[in-house]
Amino acid sequence: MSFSSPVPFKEAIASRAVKTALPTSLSSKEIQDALSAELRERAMFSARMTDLGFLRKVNDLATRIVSPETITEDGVARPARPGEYMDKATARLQLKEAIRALGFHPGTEGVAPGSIKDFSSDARLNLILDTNVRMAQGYGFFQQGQDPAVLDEWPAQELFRAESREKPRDWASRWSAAGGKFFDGGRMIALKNAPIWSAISAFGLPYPPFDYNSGMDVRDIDRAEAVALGLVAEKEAVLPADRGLNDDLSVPVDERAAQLVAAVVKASAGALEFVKGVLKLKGS
Amino acid sequence: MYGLSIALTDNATPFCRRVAVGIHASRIAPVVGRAGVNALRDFLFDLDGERANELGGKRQHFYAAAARSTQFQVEDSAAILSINHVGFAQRFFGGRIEPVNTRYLTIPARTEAYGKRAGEFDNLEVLYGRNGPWALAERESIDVSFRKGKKGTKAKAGQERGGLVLYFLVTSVDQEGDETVLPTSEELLGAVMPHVDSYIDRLVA
Repeated sequence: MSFSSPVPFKEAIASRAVKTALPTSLSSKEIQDALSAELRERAMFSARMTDLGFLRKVNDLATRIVSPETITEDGVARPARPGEYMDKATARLQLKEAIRALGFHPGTEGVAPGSIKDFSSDARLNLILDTNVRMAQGYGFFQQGQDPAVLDEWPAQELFRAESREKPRDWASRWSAAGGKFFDGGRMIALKNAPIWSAISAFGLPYPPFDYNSGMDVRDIDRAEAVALGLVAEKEAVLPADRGLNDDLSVPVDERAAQLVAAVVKASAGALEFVKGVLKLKGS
Repeated sequence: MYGLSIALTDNATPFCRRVAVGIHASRIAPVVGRAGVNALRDFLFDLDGERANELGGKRQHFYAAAARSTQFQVEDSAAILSINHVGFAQRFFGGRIEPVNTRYLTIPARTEAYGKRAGEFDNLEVLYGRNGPWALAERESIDVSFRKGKKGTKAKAGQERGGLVLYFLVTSVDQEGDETVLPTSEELLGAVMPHVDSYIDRLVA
C-alpha cells in the first residue's frame, strides 16, 4: 500500500455547505413537527438556540471535524497545518468559550446544570457535534453509494449495531413497525433506496444516524447476496436517488437562506413566524 | 493494480459500447473505491469493539469514528481511499508528537480527563517540581459552613476537595506505530477484486 495525505470528503462537506443557520426558540419536538426532513436537511439549528453566530460556529466546527485536512479562511480553502486539525474535544472547548461569551449560564436560564438543556454541558455539546458530524458522514456514505456502478454492485444495505450502548433501543421493533423484513434470523436488510430507511429514522432521513446518540449504522450488501435474499432480480437495474443538495449549492447563499425561511413559514401554515431573525411559534 | 485492454471490432453495436464504457477505468474506480471503503469500515468497526481505552472510563469509540470518516474519491481514474479522522495516521505510523500552539502536551492521568481538553476544566492549577511544571491538578479546596451559636458565629471545616492530578505535562511524546489498526494490503485487495470481477461479469453477461 502507498500512503499520502487524506483527500477531502466532498459529499460530506457539501451537506454542510448547503445548510442555512436557523436560530429558533422551538423545542426539539416542535422542530421535528414543524419542519419536513428535506427542510431540516438544509437547516442548521439546535433546539432553543437563538444565536446566529453560535449556530454558524457549530456548522464551521462540524465541517472541520469532517474534513480536518482542510481549513477555510475568508472563503478560501487551504490545507490545514499541524495544530489546526479539528477534533471533537477542541471543538467542544471552542463552543464552551462561545457560549460563555454569550453570557449563558444554566442558573440564569433556568435549566439543570450539566443537563441536555444546558448549552454549556458536555452532554449538549457532544450531542450537537456528534449529530452534525455523523449526519454529514452518513450523507457522504449514502451519496457515494448512489454512483450507478456502486449501486449496481451493492443495491442493498443492512442495519447493524456498530457501537455498544448501556441502554440500546429496540431497533428490531422499530424496523418491524416500519414494515421491514428480517433475514437469516434477525438481520435487518433492505434495498438502499427503499422507504424503510427514512421511516425508521427519528430525523426522517435515509442515512445514519437514525436517532440521537445511536450506535447503529449501515453496511453494504452486494448484489449476489441481495439476489439470494430475493430483494432484487439478477439483472434488475436499481435507480439512484437524488436528495437535491448539489442543486441547492448552485443557488447563492443569501437567496438560499431566504428560500429556506419562506419554505419553513409556508410549511407551518401560519403556526410559525420569524421575529428578528428567530423562528418562533406565532404569538410566543 | 489492474489493466484491461479490449479490441473492439465493431464500435457501433450497443453491447460493445456498453462494455467499453463500463470497463473504462473511471467507471470501475468507484467500485474499487467502495469495495475498499467497505473493507476498511468493517475492519475498523470490529476493532472498535475489541479495543477500549486503557484508562477505562466512558468509551470514546475512536475506531468507530474513524470508520465513519472513511470514504473514497476518484482522481485521474484511480480510487483513493481516505480516513479523515484526526489521530488515525499517528496510531498507524507512530512518531514524535510535539506541542504546536503551547509549550506542553497534556497527557490524561485519570479517566475524567480522557477525551477532554485541559481548558474545559475551570479548576486546574499547575504543579511545579524541581525541573519545572510537571502536572495539572484540581485546585484544592475545603467546604466551610458557618453556624451561629451563643458565643457568636463559628466556622466548621467540611469536605476536602481537589488535589487529583488530571494531566501530566510533557514537552514531547514518542509513540510506536501500530500496523494492526489497518488491514494488510493482501486483505484489502482480497476484498476489492471479487467486486470488480462481479461488476465486469454482469457487463459482459
